[in-house]
Amino acid sequence: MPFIGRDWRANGEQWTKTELGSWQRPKPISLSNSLTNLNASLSDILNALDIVNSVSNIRRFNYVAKVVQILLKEKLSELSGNAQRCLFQIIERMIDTALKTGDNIPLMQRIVTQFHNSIEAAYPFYYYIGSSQLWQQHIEKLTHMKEKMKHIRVNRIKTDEDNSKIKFDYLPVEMQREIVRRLDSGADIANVGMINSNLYRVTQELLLWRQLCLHHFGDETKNSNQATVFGEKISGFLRRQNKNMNLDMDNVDWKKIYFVLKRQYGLRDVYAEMIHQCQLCKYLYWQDADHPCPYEKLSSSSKPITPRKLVIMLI
Amino acid sequence: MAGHKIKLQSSDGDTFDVEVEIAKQSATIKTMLEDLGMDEEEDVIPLPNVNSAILKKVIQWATHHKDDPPPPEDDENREKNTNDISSWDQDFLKVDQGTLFELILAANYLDIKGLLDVTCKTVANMIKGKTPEEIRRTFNIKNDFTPQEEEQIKKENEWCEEK
Repeated sequence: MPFIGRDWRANGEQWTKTELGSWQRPKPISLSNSLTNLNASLSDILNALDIVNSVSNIRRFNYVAKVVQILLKEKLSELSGNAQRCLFQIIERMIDTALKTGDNIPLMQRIVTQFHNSIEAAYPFYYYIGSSQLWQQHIEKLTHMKEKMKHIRVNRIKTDEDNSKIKFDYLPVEMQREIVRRLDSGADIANVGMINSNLYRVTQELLLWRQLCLHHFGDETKNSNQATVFGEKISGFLRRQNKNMNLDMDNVDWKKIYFVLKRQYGLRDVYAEMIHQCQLCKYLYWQDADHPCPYEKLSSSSKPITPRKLVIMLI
Repeated sequence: MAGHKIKLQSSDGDTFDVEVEIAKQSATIKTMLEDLGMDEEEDVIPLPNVNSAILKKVIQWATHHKDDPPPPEDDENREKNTNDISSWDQDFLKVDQGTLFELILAANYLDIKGLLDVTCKTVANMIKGKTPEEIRRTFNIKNDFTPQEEEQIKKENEWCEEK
């Protein structure tokens, strides 16, 4: 592919201030051919996408978390030393963010434990790093992180105990329903149901589970008529059930359907913001940020890149 | 009419001057203005369910979001996307739990969809990934199940999670 430089009439270079107070140019990342002609290392790309700072943005947190999970679960031995250092940095930042906001703490505990396990499993050959000293360092760092996560968690709940004029369980049922409706995991909803009898009733409503099923397995096929058309996953399941007995559509156990289909297909991942790739210049960039496209005047088209696809692209 | 103002009165008697366009993000106030013809500058709209501290917060939120495009109708996927909270809203909602729940009540009473959405999402994020006991502690809720009932529900859920 020919090199496409910037037009000399283009705007000047952009400089952004880093958190440390120094200035840097935004590094463009262009993957001329998404799978082969990759001329940047993973750590370069992680830096260029500003992953480290992105985790303090809740809209990007989940996406980064997923990338990190894939990397440390499956790709650890394929990471360069630099990329590994980068990964540690990202995780440290994520922990800081989680502690500061109080959100995503269970997720971070899972990630740290996972990381600790996969590093520990490398003993005694240190296959991923090749040095026992570095390995020792990693283990110490991770043990420290694990401790930190445990510690803060207890503190947080203690400070929460002595405030609140209105409490969650005093809210009207409609409001509790609004909140529960926003959970996208059946396990979370089931857990809310175990808090007390009042909330148990809220979580038993069929409509709630029906919405959850449509969200994860619906395939978004809404027809123009009034009748609901279920996606292939749900309608397939209903057909199979129908063979055994005559199914009463008003009395479908959506909770059961949810957990059966979850086992079968897994859940849909939804991210508030994803990394996109411009279809014209192959730039990678965060959805909310812009990218300087050399083909500016053409209609821009970009594709969202899932975390899995990003990892495949990079390694 | 740009800049045209109305007066909102909180439950504890404070009045606030608010631009009509900002106040109209509340479907409740919008209906009042349009159906009841309360369009005179002299009129004060009483909001007996909202105290002044919360009303102040609500007005602050509505002022910041006055130029937002209307949200897409009934988009359930957006609804479950609990991380989709703008950084301004995140900062805005760094409040204690009592205030957060009062904001939910106010958003519901005033029928402001956007505010209800972000506040509920914020609470949902506090629930995510926690065990029942942790949720109870987070919100300071008492467990009122008998041991038998608890056992029963646990069994129900075990079926759900088994592989």
